[in-house]
Amino acid sequence: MEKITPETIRHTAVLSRITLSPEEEQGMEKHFASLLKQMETLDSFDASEVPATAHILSAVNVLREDVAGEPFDREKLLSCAPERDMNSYIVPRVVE
Amino acid sequence: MSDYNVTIGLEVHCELKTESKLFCSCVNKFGGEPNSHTCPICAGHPGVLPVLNKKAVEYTVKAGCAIGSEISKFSKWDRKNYFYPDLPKAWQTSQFDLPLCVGGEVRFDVNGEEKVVRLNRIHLEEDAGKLVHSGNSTAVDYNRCGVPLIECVTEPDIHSADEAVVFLEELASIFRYCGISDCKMQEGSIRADVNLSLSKPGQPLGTRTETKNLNSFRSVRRAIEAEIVRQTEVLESGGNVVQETRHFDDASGTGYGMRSKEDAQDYRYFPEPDLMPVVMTDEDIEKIASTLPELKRARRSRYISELGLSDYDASILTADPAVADLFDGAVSLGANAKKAANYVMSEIMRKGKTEGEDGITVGISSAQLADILMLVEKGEINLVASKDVLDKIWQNDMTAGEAVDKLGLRQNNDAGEIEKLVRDIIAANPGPADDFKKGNEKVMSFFVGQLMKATKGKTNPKIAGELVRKILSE
Repeated sequence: MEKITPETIRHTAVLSRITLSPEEEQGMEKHFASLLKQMETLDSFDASEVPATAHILSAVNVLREDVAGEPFDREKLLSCAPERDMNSYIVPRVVE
Repeated sequence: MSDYNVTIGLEVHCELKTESKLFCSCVNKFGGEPNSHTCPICAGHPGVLPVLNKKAVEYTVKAGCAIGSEISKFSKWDRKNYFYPDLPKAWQTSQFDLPLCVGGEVRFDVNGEEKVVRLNRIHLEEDAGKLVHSGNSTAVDYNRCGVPLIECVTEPDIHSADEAVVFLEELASIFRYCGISDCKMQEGSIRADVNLSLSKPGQPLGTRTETKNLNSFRSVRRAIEAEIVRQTEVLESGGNVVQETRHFDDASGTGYGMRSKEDAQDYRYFPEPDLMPVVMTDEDIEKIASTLPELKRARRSRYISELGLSDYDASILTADPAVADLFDGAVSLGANAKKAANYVMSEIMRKGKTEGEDGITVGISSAQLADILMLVEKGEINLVASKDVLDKIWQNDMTAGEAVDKLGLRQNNDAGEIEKLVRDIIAANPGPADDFKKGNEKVMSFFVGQLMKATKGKTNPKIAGELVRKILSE
């Protein structure tokens, strides 16, 4: 099992777009370590004979025919947005 | 210029032309008012359940069959996580370790030599929305979000901008022939990312950069050329190429790296719990493969070897599948291949070329084309009149014969009536008639022209010429 380091915590925080204070980082490190320890319980299970599982259910090929349906009420969708104009969602400017 | 080997791999994204989106029934259509083709599923609302579009899976498998991929009997869906407002869910539903198609290759000719580029994989995923930046805010339009997209990843088998562009043209043509995508660059339905590195001969591959989101063949060429120059300069000045994601600015013709190293992508893929795996049997795959048409390369060589067309003509005719189908159909209905080819390349292409569009609009059927050619062949109309016929039957189902009658174009081939006209014309022009007798052949065209004028172009030029010569020689 990978060891939880301050770098792992910082990297995860960046990917999650959250800012942590140094104290929070430390707390998070302990918290993660204990979570992973708990997960280690799974290591005691011998899974060498179990094939890789893509999904917990056995169903496959759940497909729909390619037919376009009625348009959804745009106003209903846009009304959920914290910020909008006439017909678009408005977000802070982010240029990748 | 430099003594570096250039190594390029491409990731090509291509939108599938299904009726509906990949996971919901919203219409898959370019343009439209912002967010007019969206629903809670493609707008990323919580608690919704995506359901996979069967046609999108078939089209992806068809693409794989066309390039000789191995089609996966078992493939699954994964979440590719990243935060960017073009994807409302904060992940893109894609395929990671078990894509629908594995391997394959594309063959094409560059500067007269055959080249093979191997494909690593083709997987199916959803397209992202469109962002319009202005001032301090960005407007988001999710019409394109959830449109089925195939990503084709090549092996690093490409070694120049020329090869990259011809490869892309060939791939786009294969997909157009398969009928799975329009591959319209101007609508962004085909886009490419370029991975490029330089190395000294005999040395291991250098560090690569990835230039993302090039949306025209021209940008691909320019971005590759600029990046080769840039990396060469870095290496020649003793520096190291940094592995990074870059963008190419079409206006200035230069690339630039993304700002921070923290952007190094870490997508944390994990299996998509909302979608079930896709299982294919040999019969399923065979059924899809059986729908493949004869592709451009095969058709071109058939036109050359079996129909006797030139390499150039065969290339032009096969550039657009709709044009090739029109030509093939007319030939199979008995039209002369060379005459049909000439007619398609001149008249049909002139008429079908639409401003700003990549392809040719083909406004007549093979049967209509065969009809026109037959009427010309039999001398019932001449080539000039055939243009009027073409205008008349374009984009409607009138037969060429009906159009000829409606337009009153049927050629006057009644030898007796024409002979009388020729005699009148010769009598009225004794000077030129004398010249002919003295051996001046050039006056022939004068008399034929006069006859055409008198019959309003309805005389078969061949018959006219023969008659004029016969009467003048009396």
